[in-house]
Amino acid sequence: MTLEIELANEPAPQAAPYVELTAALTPPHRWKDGLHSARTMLRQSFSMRVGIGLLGCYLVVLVVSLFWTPFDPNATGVGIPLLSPSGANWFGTDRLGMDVFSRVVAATRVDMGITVAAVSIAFVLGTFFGTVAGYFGGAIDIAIMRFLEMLQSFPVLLLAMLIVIAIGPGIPNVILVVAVIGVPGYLRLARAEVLSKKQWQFAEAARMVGSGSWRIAFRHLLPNCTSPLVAFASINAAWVTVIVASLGYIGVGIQPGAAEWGAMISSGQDEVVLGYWWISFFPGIAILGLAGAFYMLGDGFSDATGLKR
Amino acid sequence: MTEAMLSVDALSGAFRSPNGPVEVLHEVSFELNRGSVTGIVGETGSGKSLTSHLMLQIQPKSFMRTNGTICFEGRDVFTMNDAELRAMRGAQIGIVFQDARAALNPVFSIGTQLADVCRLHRKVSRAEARAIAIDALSRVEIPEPARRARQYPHQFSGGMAQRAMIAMALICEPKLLILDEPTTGLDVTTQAAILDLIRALTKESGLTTCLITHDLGVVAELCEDIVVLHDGRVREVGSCEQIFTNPVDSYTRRLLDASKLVLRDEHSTMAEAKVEISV
Amino acid sequence: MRQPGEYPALRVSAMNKTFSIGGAFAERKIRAVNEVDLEIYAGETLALVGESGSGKSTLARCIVRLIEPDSGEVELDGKSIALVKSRELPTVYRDMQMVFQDPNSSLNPRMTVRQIIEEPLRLHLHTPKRDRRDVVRRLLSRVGLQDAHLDRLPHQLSGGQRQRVGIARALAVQPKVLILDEPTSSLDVSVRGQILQLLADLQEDTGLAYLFITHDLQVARRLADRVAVMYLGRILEQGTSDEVFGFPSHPYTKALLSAAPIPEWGARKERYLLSGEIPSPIDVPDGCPLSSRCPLVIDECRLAPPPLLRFEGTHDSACPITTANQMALT
Repeated sequence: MTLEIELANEPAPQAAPYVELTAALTPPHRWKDGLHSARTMLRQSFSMRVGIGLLGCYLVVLVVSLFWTPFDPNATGVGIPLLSPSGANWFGTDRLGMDVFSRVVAATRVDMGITVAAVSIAFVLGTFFGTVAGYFGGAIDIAIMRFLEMLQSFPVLLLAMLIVIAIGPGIPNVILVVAVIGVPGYLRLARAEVLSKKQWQFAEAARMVGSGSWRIAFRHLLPNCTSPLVAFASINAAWVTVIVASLGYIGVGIQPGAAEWGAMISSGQDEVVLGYWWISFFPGIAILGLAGAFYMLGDGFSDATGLKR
Repeated sequence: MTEAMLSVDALSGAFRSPNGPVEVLHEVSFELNRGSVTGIVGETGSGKSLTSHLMLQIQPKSFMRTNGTICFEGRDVFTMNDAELRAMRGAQIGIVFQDARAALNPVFSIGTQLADVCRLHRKVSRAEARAIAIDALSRVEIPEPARRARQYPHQFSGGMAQRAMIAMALICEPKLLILDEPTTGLDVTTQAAILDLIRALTKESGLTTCLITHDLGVVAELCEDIVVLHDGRVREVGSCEQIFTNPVDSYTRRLLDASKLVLRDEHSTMAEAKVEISV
Repeated sequence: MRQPGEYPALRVSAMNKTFSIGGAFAERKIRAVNEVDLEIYAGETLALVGESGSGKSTLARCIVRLIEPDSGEVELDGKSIALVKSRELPTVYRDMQMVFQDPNSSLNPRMTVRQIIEEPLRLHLHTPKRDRRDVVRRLLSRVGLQDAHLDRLPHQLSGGQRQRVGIARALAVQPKVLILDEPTSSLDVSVRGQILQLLADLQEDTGLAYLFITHDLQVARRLADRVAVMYLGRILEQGTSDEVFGFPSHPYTKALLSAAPIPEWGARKERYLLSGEIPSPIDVPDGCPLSSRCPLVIDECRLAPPPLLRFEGTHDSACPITTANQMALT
């Protein structure tokens, strides 16, 4: 099918000078594709650099721990208990003689793994339902929002505990529970973003161009809402890290004795009073570090994309 | 020969940006004559709004002056300290911005805001300030001024909010009134009413007025003198009659043609004009 | 040129749209569109002129069914589309397209120019991939852009260029009718003329019918064959460009024309004044919509809105008072 259209002999208009001017004055305010924009953001934001750097360290530790740790993190009754940090045991040993450093490192798999998995699931589910609620509105929206309110009316930790106790322990269950708890945040954000962008004329134009509703919602509107969602996800991950550790601290969901930061803090807390501070201290630092890394990444990202006004 | 109330002399400056300084003004020079209405005309990015902000020293912090002065009644505004600037703004120079409803504080009534501005610069009691505020609203032809003074900005229509802003700018009887795109975004009939109001007010008080706009129709209606800005440079200065009937500069001619929406036959002259400017 | 017996490219009959706002206790109505009739023939431009609250944008969206009208008929080339279900609307969009006002928000910020123009080819015309490239490039050059612009994102283009992309996108499906909602209002003065020139050329080459919505009388005067003046949901005056601009009849048209600033020295004219400002479109009282502000208002004006009647040539007016005066003079 060919179109017979004559060529216009009109000269190409030059870009108005104000475009260059405004481009020079305003920092990048959108998540543009490509390495260049990522590099620019890193250059501009100290927070992001710190965040990514720290996360990188944790990731390296996690990967390495899959192959090697200085001592076996689960070997009971082997080492001398309650040794203070030294050249041999960098973080000392705990009540059962296990090397604290190895356990902290091994726990990275558990804590960081659960956090990343739970955040990813919450992100996908929350964004999907939020987009549907925001775009289609009406009865679907009302139904989704009512369900959300029900979910959010419980204190988070209490809800998590109850569900885990109900469905049983185990890492997959913990991931599921934490994910479900995290969904409301993403849902509300995605819904708000889609609602506001729905008015934009390109959504109307998309309809004229032949797009159906689902296409407009997911192919057109959602990609324009990713910046705030990514920023939220990062900061949410910080919070989730603490939640996961808290669950471990309470003793919910994780096998007793497994290497997990929260559980380690809990098991070491009696010893602190006696002066053996290292058993609870180092897991605590690990939690702080990971949460802080996620937070700074999200914060820096918000700054760099101009989301914070 | 009327003495200039405000004169801009070889003003040049740039914005600081992550990619280095971006020059926005080059040797801008013009004068605002006492008692006359001067229009500063330009498109987006010409630097006209920036110039008006510089007159009051409310420009963005990232702006650096590289040369030139702005002298208001003989004194360079760049050399004034905070106290002098505060005394100047509102009392000596009043400014009206484009979007009135955004410029007004939504949580205070119009009357309160007007009275506050009044008491900032004049020693009057609250009751007196209130009375002056209501009087100012009636001077800008807002019907039922006493009732309107108790209302909030969101209860005002676009045109009425703009009148309220003009009232606020004039309440301390300044010597110079700056209007930055005062009618852009208003309906045609509302715009005409506001322009008539501005004309009446400036005639009756002999106010010196500086009108910044991109709309040449507005300029033709209201202004006696015109300054044409493009890309941070002054392209032409002259009386209204002269600029419209006998423009000298190529950009001015092109702008006039464009505003009259001249079509195909004038295309060749436009192409010429483009080539001249890019050189 | 109109041929006898030819169907208008677009005919709108008795279009109505009312919005309800407020909750159960405080429900109020906005009659955005009130019994509007329009017709446009191929190769013609009808300018729909009005200020804020006139309902012109709502009318445009009702015609293309982005908003569902309460009642009214729309015919494209004689074929009624009022009963077309929303699922089948895409077939309508092959004949009727829209160009939007704001070049900043009418293009998806994350799609390149190529993707934006390809989309209608893909979804409407199902153009095979190998032909798409050529078609897109021809469309681009038709609107005065170059191949270099293909892979740019909207924020890398100027306002005028973005609007050209919007026009190219609308032209991709080779529609018969183009509805333009204030396409030049957000553009700089110097660019406005270029876009208008482009639209004029396109119309001459392809015989498109334009419904050109604007508040700018100068723009309407330049491009329009016929003009309709809209106020608070009703059409108050209608006729050829010469008839309406040369011999305005309705008091509102006279006020509008006298208010528009002209960029010429010494062109200042007597203002035809209406009292007050445009009232809120909420709960408009019965009668002529201008009755609250008109200098010629009499009691009859407030009872029922006067109908739009032909009084000379192809010139219609909804003010019985001024048409009676004018007819008495002739």
